[in-house]
Amino acid sequence: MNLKRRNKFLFFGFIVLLIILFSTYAYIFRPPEKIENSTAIFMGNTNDFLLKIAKKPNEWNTKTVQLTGRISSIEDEGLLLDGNTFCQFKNKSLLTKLKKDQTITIKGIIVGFDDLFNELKLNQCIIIK
Amino acid sequence: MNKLLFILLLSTLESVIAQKYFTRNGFTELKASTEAFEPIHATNNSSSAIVTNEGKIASQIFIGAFKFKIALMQEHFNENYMESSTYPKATFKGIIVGFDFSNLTNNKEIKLKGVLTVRGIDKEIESIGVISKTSNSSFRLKANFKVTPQDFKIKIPSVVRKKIAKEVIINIDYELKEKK
Repeated sequence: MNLKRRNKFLFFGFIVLLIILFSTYAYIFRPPEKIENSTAIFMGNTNDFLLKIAKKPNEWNTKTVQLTGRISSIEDEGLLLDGNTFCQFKNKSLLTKLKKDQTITIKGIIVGFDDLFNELKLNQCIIIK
Repeated sequence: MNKLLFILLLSTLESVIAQKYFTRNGFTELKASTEAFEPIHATNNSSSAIVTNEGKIASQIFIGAFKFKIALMQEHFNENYMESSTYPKATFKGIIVGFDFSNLTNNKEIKLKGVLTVRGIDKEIESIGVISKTSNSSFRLKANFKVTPQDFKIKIPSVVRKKIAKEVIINIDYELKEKK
């Protein structure tokens, strides 16, 4: 009886250890969060957002936002919203469905304010609406 | 604030007038793997670059946009080593020696010279690259160079020193289009 109890204890201990090891492994080697699953910390239009970040633009780098704007041009790799926000797309083939001057809402990750082009840059963008 | 904006506008205006070829989605790659350990490899396909007709090049890259396969590695890279919240970007300013778009052939070897700024520290870079004409209005620039963490005063704790290569290889692959 005593031996059985000990075995049971060992068995559960072993299972717990396995779970701990596995979750540690999963935590250490987890892939970066996908844009689809991350929540936007700002939702609104591009001009409002640019005003909001004007003082400290770099604090917003790598954050996920959802922006609405009018398409001012469509490039090979992304599109320009309101002439001030460049959205690099995750899936370039979606760009062919869009038209200039259309209003669109996208979700993307902020790369940063690019002063070579004087525009805000987002990447991994997906279309929301 | 307004003054600053004005200066910023002026300086960008200047670069707009002189600019000729550009990319917003250049590919930059970092490799710092050592054998037998987890590969340290990051890619960034949101690099910006402008090349003028005279071969002057200005390139900018956001540290936070480097992607690793492992999130924790990406976090450490940003927080502990590159301190990307303090130094959000790296820049390269220099010249492609002898650049002449009208005389471009395939896989033409060129010399790339300039200053790489990472974490606010400048380092002179000289490297051999390759330029290929991809159309009548675009070309592709490939180059690589080696830097060391010490160049930019990046301290690596002794615990992980063996896992990080002494020399970090930076590969760039940019396709630049004519600005119309």
